[in-house]
Amino acid sequence: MGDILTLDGNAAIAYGVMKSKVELIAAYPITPQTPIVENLSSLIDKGKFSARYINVESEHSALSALIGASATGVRTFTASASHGLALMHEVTGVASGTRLPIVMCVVSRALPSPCSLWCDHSDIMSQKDQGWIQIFAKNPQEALDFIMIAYTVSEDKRVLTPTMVDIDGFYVSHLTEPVDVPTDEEAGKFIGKFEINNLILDVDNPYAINNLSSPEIFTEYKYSQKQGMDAAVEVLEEKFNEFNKIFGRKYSLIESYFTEDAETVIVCLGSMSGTVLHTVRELRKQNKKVGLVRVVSFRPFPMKILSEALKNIKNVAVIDRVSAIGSMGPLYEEVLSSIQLSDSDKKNVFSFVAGLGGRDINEKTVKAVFDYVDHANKTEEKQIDTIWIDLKKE
Amino acid sequence: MSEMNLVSKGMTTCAGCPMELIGRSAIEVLGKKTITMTPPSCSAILTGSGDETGWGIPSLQTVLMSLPAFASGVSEALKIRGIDDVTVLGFAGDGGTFDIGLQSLSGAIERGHKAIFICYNNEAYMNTGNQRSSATSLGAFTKTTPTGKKESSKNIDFMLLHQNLAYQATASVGDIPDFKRKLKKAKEVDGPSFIHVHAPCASGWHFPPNQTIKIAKLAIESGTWLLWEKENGKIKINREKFDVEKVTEYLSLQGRYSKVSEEIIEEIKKEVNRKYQILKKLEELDCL
Amino acid sequence: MQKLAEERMKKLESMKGLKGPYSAKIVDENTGIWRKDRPVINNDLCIKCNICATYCPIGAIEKQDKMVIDYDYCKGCGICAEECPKSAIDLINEKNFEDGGN
Repeated sequence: MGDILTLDGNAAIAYGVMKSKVELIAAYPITPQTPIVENLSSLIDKGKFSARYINVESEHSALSALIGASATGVRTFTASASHGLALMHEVTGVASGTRLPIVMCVVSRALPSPCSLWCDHSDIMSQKDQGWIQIFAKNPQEALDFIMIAYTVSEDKRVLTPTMVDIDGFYVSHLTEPVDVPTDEEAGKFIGKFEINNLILDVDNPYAINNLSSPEIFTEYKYSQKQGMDAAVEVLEEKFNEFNKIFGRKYSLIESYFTEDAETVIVCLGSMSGTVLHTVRELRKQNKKVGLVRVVSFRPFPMKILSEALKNIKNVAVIDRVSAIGSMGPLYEEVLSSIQLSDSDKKNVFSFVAGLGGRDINEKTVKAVFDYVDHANKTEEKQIDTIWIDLKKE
Repeated sequence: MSEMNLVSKGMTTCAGCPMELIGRSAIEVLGKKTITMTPPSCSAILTGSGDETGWGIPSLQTVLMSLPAFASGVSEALKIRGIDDVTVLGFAGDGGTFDIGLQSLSGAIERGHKAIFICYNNEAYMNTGNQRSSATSLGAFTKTTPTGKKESSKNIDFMLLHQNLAYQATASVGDIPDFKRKLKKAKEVDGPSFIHVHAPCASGWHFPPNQTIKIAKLAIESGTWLLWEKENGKIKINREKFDVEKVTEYLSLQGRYSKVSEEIIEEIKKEVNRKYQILKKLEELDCL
Repeated sequence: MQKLAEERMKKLESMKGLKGPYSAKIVDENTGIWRKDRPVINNDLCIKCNICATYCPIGAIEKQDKMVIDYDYCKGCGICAEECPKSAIDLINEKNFEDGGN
């Protein structure tokens, strides 16, 4: 048991970074992430945290600096959101392709346009195919814990893949709760100092890193990345178990609630899962057979585990917090891929869009999702489009 | 050289490539304890392709926009690891320095990281086939300025005078010993250095490769390329005497100026004198 | 094979198992076959000032007991001949040599 501090999601991330013995941070402020970088600067300036902080002049430079530093053998961290994450896009693939164990906190905020300061998942989803592990924390405690876990997974020799830890902008980043902050000793049991175990810029052992490849060798490098990402499923579970042994908090790739006899289950990511769970509990009091599967790891997507969890569930309502224009939501598509492993022909799967640009997903929204599914079942309508459940009616 | 070359002799650079000469000369000075970075550009050829590289020292291929940011990270990480005898070298062209790379260069210098930024200036985006950069001289042909560039080149050296460089210099492939002398100084300072090296490119400027050094010397002799350095707040012009009339000869040897008008030549000469006057005035100060 | 490439070959074994895009082998192209004209040093005129070696872009010229050009790599750019203060280097068409290319 560490110290219980009242922290918001941003401060919890900063503490997680400190407890993970990060050595170098390069970050550029952007709403709603600014308190992370401010907290870290404060901890460093006051001598509580011995990391170095590079005040880069843009997010693109932030991640570029971390790639250089990580390739020189130190543990690194950055954080961003929305425009900033989009600006990093050129180099997010460089970080994952060069197999550097960088950890980045994404404080999810809508990508423009329209311009917004508030939460949706369009920013992190724009990076979903850049080869990073992506795990979604739903509250400040998870925010802190997932940072520590992220380093142990990313740096594992079987994985060697950078990780994004997502927290919802304002809903988690600015949510203040009591957080159990591990002591240095406890943290030390879970995560030690950085050890160089892969590519390194070393004058005694020189080689070129990230030079131009060729069609003859490109595919094999990518396949090796895939193997690292696939290994992350097992390694995440291992580290979740280790973490639980030391800290008594058990995490998993997905979390299922009330699914044993549910007829309709909502599948979702991030902080909205708290509201969904609350609503599910209320509806259960009215004997409605509803449930929730919360996805924690979006990349690697736990297809087999999710398929198992949704077996025998007649209606799967996936809520995506992205605008999914021109096709269906990204989480929906993952769910479809997962269940086609088993009994997709017996299921109705719905692609809901909600909570864009910071619109709150409240009980009313969740109930509307369940009502929609009920109605669709009665009329036997086949779903062929995304359902924008919280769209204002004219 | 009884010592082993630290840069391969057999790379697929153009015959007579001044960038290669600069890179090779640089490693002769800086030695084995150097980490180098190249962006996608001509210098990336030295970093190699497939499973081969030309560097005998560790190297990292960056993206074009942010080599100085990569270098910032490498420089700080070395400090964290307590390694203080390794030089961090950035080896970018004019594109990655004047244009797309300008922001990160300015940022890295402003933050004061210990690193040497060499810019080999062949006055165009050469590796993609000779498109103009802001470093392309007035009146020069490139594939995106087919009737001659309408703008003068950006004066990066004057711009960077307003930043806190620990050491700053211009140099040229026309005077390799001078370049090496300046690089030695850059190696010693504890902070960011910038060395801007003129690199006349036979392939892009359209002249026979054996003229490379001669043309670089003519640039110096005509005042088109001024050699100077700045340290401890003071500018020193290395070569006072030049003959601006030699601009005509300088331009006449380059195919990229084959259609240049008399007016442009006069403009160029005026520019030469203007820049020299400004530099001469700045040389009086000791608080730069 | 040039010395740098040889030395690096010895280290390759120890680098196995590294994941990610890296290149350890030294590029060792026989760029000598690009050459149309071969620079030949006239040792009677040569004063071993080292200017040719200083300005050779590929580092193919070395001062030993005389100046030696590595013809495996020399691309025939002609800078050495142009810069020699004693005009001691001649460029001679490859077909004049037994081992010459064309």
